[in-house]
Amino acid sequence: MTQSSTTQHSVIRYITRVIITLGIIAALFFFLPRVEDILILFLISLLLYSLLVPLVNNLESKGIPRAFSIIIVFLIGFLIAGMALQFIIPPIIKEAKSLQETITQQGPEKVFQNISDFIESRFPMLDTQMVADKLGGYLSATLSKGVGLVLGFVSAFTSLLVILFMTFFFLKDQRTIKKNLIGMVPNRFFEMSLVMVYRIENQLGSYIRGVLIDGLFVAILSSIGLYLIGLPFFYFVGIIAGLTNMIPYMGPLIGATVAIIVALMSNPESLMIIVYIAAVFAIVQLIDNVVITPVVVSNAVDLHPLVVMLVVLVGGSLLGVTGLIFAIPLTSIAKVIVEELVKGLKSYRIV
Amino acid sequence: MSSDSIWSNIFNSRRGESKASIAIRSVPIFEQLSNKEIAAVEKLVHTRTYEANESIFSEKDPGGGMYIVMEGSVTILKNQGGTHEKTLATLEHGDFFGEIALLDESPRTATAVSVEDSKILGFYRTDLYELVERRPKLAIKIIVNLARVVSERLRHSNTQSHELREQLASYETEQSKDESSE
Repeated sequence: MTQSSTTQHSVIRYITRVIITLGIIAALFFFLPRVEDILILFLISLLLYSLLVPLVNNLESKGIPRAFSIIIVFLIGFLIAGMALQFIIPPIIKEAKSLQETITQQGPEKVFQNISDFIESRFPMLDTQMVADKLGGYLSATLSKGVGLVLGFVSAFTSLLVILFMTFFFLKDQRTIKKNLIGMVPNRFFEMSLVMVYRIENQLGSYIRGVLIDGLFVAILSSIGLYLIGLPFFYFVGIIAGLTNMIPYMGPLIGATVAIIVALMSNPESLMIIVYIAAVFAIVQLIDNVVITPVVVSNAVDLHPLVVMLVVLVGGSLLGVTGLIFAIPLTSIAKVIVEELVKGLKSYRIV
Repeated sequence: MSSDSIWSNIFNSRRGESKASIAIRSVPIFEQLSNKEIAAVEKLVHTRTYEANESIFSEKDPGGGMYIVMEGSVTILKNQGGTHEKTLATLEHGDFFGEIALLDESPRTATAVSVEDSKILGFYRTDLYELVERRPKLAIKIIVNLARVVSERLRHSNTQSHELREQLASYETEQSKDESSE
């Protein structure tokens, strides 16, 4: 066999594999909304893996066997989670339940009615009724689902077990999993794939860790700020603010909107609290952008505002609240993969 | 002799040792590693199968790592301009090549092609980085061995370059003598 025919053969094999992979991805997109829960568990396990792998590697480098290193990290995690359960989780569950009850009893329609009355009294030319009805209906469904989802997560013991199980095996067998997957790549692209996977893993690892740490800081700062202004359910809104912080530009606005809705639900008369909430979110964003983000989040995954908007809309329509939160991290992951792929293919003179 | 084979079996062969670990042990970069450490490297390396005439890597490609020939043979070719290629070496079982790529991504200086159907072990820079992170003591041993191999090559190149310079100087002296006598 000549070298050119061998290369041709390997290219055909590679193209076939690419087509199969694209087919699988297309099928995934089709089944995605149907397997949302499993996908969420898988994504959480991957996030936990990214967060914990440097700690496990660090312990292993001290001579502790990997399985024991993972168990030690898990035990420390359980300890922290235990403390959280003791001091933080009960009020959050109480707040979330109470919030869910408020949503069910009152409904955002009523809240929007209050807001529209307020606007109409000042701007009589605006037809706010229609907007309030539509927004209220949409948010009622989304918020109930969102709160239900959080409650579901907290209470679902089996989900927790599945996450722990998956995270443990990702941490323990990551090398074997990676080696077997890369082993399928044809010889022609093997070296390139190894280098690319390493770079992608490194960039994504630091990005995911950065985003999670950033989200945690924002959640804590927002909770403190909202507690200081006397907002009820400040824990819950703080967590939402931390989660939505993953969405650039729109995230803080979504967080602030949730806070305003919560404030108006509990006390529709006091519209002054909106100003305080805006001030809290502005201060938190200032601290986040000036102090936290530059230190913990990598700049490698900057996205154009238009891309952010489109991706969030698509994520939201595909997977609802989950899609809204995970759209940006997933797009950032895709961006890093595509950029590294193009860089690798160019350096190996394949394209 | 049968008695020889018995003694050699007792002292020389490592029972239960795989072909891959024997090949790894034969490479100077993995010298002085314990059985456990060799097993750790074996878990890390990638066994690749190449058909006859299949390229392993091409000249000017970014370097990704080193290779150890386990079965079959490999030729190392250097482009001499156009389509003309000069064979630099033919490598067989236990030979290794491409080790400089463990240090950086600089372009390959030659092309490696499998002569026949071959089984080759690949140890890549990313694997070494992973060892640095997870088993730094083992990584240091490998890096020190690698430094020794590279410094030996450098010493050899220096001697060759020194000899060539001396030859060139004596050639120039002879030429100038010839010119003055004319």
